[in-house]
Amino acid sequence: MSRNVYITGVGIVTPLNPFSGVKEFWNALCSGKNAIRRMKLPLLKSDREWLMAGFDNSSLPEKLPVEDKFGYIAEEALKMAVLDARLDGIDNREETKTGIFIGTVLGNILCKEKRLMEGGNRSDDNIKEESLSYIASHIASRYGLTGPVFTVSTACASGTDAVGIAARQIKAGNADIMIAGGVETLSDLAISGFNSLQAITEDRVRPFDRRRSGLAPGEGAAFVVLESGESASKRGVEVYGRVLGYSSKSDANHLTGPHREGRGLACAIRQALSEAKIHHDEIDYINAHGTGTVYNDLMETKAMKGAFGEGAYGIPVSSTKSMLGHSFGAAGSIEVICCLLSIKTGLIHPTLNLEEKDPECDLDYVPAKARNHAVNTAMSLSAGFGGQNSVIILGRV
Amino acid sequence: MKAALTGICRIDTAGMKTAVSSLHSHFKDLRFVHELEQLVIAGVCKLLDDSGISYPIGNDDICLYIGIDDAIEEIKSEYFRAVLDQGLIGASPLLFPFTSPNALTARASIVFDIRGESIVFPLKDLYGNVIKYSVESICQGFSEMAITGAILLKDGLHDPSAKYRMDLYFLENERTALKRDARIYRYIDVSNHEGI
Repeated sequence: MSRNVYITGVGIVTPLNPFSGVKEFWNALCSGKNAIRRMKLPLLKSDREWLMAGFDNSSLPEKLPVEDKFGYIAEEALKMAVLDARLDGIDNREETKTGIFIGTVLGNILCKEKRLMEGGNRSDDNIKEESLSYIASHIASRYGLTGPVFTVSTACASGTDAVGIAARQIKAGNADIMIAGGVETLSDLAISGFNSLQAITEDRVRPFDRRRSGLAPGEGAAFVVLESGESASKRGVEVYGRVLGYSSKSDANHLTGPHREGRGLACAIRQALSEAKIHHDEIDYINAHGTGTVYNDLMETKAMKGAFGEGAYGIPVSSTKSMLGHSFGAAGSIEVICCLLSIKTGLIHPTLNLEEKDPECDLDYVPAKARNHAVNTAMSLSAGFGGQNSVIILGRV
Repeated sequence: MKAALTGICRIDTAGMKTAVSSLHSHFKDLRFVHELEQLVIAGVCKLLDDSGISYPIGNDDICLYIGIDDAIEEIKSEYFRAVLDQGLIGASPLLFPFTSPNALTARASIVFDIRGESIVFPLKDLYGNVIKYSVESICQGFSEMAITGAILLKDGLHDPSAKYRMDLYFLENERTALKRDARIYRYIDVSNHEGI
């Protein structure tokens, strides 16, 4: 059994116009609004500030316990997607199999941090809310979902893989509707770790710029509703786009750095194109992983050139992380939504802070200003620690 | 289409010492950061041996689909306790990558040069769904061969050195197994994966 997979709803919660809806998010992104600012660690006391894209406390409910932030932003984004897809609540759908796939790297890590800061001991290490799998099973149980339920943890590619693997569930006939996406919060653990690896920029996030010096951690949640053609057609719902192809490959090279020539990513691009049964000159837009680190951006450029040849020079490429920072497990699903919105609006958001060209990063990265550009087919690239490389292709219906 | 089960490995941290010694004879410069990492690499090595697959692999024919339960939580706690004790200087750049569970399978992909999909599925206990996904992936042609199974916390009350265990299975396309004359334990399709 192999069925077409459509996306019929999107929901997104990021520090850019948080909780105000997809349209406001997209307007802010396309106008080049930057969510990255200097912030302190979430819980630990420190005078130092880092460049991050985090929620302003005033945008969150008053007195929201820190350990509830992860679940709160996940559910807000999920509810937005479900409403957008006109599912009218995702429970009481006995006639269809609905499942959920959630990508995350650290899960509800703030819950663990708080407990350990309060002197929690080793015997408490199996607290259910801290388990990576908790949020997906909690939502499935709360809404009575009867389809497949999975958590996916593939570092910074988690959100992309959650959507890609969820699409396979529909193709295989295991579900009629899948809700898939990613969620991540800023945490002391992640910031201290990336700081120890000297990966956080002290300048600005400048993807593909000659002076790029690192990433800015971010947070957020984003979900899409995937649906079989039969289900979408039966419900008469609006369709954002179709999942044409998905692929994931490993670099098998290094734990924290990408393969320098982009071997794994180029292989994933070729495989995704093959699954989509399209030629590479049919790709109208690429949403890059675009972290702003020296090695990622160069590797990504080489991978695109490797897979597209001279054609790479004719495809607009932009980096969402130049404005939203790197929200790790959520990033891939946020960028899938950016691709769908480009298809829908004919607008490509810009790459911010790209001012000085790197001679080795010489593609069309849509610097500074959004661009009107008809997008029928878009590709989102994700890469992650451990040599994860994931590619998803979305097309207009 | 059916998937052929051509390799089985069940290993725990108490029983991995021989396998780790044998690893060092294959890979002279192998260094480990955490015992879970040792377990995964020793387990994958034993599984590949059992399946008759030689390594390094050097292509994307083999995928890794691995479940992990709360075993990963202890690494995060260990890392963060050091930060609490010593401040930012306590943040270990060596241990930090292992706070993401995919680092464990990534290490196996690096050591054995496995370039196919590598997906980690966090779970609470049962890993039947991971096996099912692996079988489907093979039957639908997304992968040719798959290393699947789970990394699990074990009751280490009686033997603290046996804290973690790993159950691994090597699945492959039936045609591939027959072509390479592999020993086939049994055939599996999506309806009978639970028995393994």
